Amino acid sequence: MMTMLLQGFGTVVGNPLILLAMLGGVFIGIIFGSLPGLTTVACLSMFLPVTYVMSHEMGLSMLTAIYIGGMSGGLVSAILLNIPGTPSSIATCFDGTPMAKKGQAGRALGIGVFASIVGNFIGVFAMIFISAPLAFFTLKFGPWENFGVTVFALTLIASLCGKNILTGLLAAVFGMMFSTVGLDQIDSSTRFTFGMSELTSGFGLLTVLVGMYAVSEVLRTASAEPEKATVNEDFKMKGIGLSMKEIIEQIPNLIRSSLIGLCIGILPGIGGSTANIIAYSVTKSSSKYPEKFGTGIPDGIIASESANNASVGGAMIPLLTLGIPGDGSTALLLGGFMLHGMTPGPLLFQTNGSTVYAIFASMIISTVFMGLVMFLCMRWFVKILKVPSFILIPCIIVLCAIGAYTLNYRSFDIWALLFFGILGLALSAVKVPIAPFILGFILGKDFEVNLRTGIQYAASDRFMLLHRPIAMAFLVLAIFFFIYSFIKTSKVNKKEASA
Amino acid sequence: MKLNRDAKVAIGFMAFAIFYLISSNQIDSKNMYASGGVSSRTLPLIYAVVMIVLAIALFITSVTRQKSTAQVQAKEKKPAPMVNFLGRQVPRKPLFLGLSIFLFAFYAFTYTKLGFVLAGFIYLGCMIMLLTPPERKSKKMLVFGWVFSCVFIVALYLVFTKVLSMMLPRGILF
Repeated sequence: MMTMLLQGFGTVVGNPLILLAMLGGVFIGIIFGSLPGLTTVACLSMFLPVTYVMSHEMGLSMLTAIYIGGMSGGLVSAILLNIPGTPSSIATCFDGTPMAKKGQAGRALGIGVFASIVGNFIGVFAMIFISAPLAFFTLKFGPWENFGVTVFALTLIASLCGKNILTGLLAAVFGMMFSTVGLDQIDSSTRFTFGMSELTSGFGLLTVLVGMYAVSEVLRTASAEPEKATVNEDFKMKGIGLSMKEIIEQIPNLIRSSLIGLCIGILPGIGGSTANIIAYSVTKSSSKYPEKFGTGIPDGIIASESANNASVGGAMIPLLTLGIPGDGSTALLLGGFMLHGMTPGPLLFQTNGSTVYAIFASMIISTVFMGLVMFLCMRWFVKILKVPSFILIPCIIVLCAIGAYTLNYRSFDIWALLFFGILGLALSAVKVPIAPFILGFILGKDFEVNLRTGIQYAASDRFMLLHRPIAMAFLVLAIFFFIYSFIKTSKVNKKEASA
Repeated sequence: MKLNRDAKVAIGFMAFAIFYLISSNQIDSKNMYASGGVSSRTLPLIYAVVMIVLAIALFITSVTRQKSTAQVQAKEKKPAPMVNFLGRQVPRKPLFLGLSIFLFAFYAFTYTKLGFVLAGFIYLGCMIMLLTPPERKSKKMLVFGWVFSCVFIVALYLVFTKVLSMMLPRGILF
């Protein structure tokens, strides 16, 4: 593993263009992360077409750099505007803004950047050491095991997204239905094309992802009232804002929050947006001085920023080893892998091992770049916060349309982009979570192929599934999660009704 | 009885599932593995049935826990109307959303007919004009919006076609 990682470093460091692409990716990611209303997902959607002409290593390194930059960029507006740039920085506002109001904005930013770097490192190193053995283990999976994992992932995401498991499951099934459009993968029957030749190949993954996440988000921002906030420009950054004694005191908080972020990142459907709030509340409840939280103390910023950044590494683990994206950004990264002819999953480490380790190396270097860029260019980012969204929003749409058009060089994909944008907007409006839909769409084809292949294998042995312990374990876990979530939802509903 | 949001969502999903179920029956099923295999029609039928069952469950649970309409209405806050760029008392949201979608549809329609540059220039310019807040609307802003659209689109076209060697629709300009 270490040899491969060193080779990965060699690939990345040996090519100045890759380093430049990563630096640019981190920079752009931070800008998008810091601008309220624009997120990493929109940024990744914009820059996917740019990576078409790049090598695997360069394109994917740039995309992961955007992901890392975007996750940390949210702290800038959270501290200086009291508006989180991304949902992953909501808890940063709790102590970041009071600190800025006390005239310590520079210190708060320094602490946030420091915690982001530590969180990122913990997440990325955990990803490196967990992914390879897990991928090796999943190589043993047959159709029934893959079927079990798919059912488990869909149930988990439906349980964790939104308040109602039924709407989550409906969204997942809805996504699976869209995956059946086009030619059947096993016997090439035409399904749900309604005489349209463009639908024969089905809906493109990127079209669905960009439409559901980026276009719907942009349409929502375009139709929302513009947020009016004053940028606090009166600050000076001096180092990381913590003394050596304070750093030592914060080590347990850093490690605990990063591990929370890592574990939450691994679960599909929930990522940094949940991790930062959970880490904040855990840190508060285990603190000796919980009453000080919310008044502007470093503990809150550290908990939030280390957790959301550690979730980056966590979300990459199921993506690389099972091909299951952990959140919207990793769903787009999955699209990025596919654009470059790679399929994330157990075989990725065998077929494209050198590229995977180059991505690992690039994520470590991107974390260093993120820290440097944040410390050196903070004043510049503050100026960017003043760029009006009415200029940026149409530009995102134009770039997303380029990405969709260049997939097959047909305008049908731009129409599909609009269709999925409106669908995403409609689902959000009625509080149906989008993440299960996306996962259902991504896993739908594998689900069908594995189930049908498994049934063919089981033709001679009707109880074959019972002899597959891993598949059974995942199915039992899926049932457990379903029952647990159903009971939990019922309890919450009863409480709400009695309130 | 006024249905709540979840009940309406359940009805919507149920309608879609019925449409999907009917369409599933039109799939030309070729069962290559007759001995125990499933055809290309089986999974769509299962999805449709599962969606109907889930939608019924959602409908029942939402109706049984539905609060009185009065309580719900009391909690809902109506957004205050505002003066938009046309100077009318219309909430910004539906109008801007509708116009944004219309402009996107126009962009998709003209993308290959007018070409990337012209379609993009019109779309960008119109969107900037649409989204500019009323307090920032001025002749200077109008000129800036269209000049920015022109420069941005031409620069993008040159970067993608000349630098990245990707094909974009030329349309009527080139």
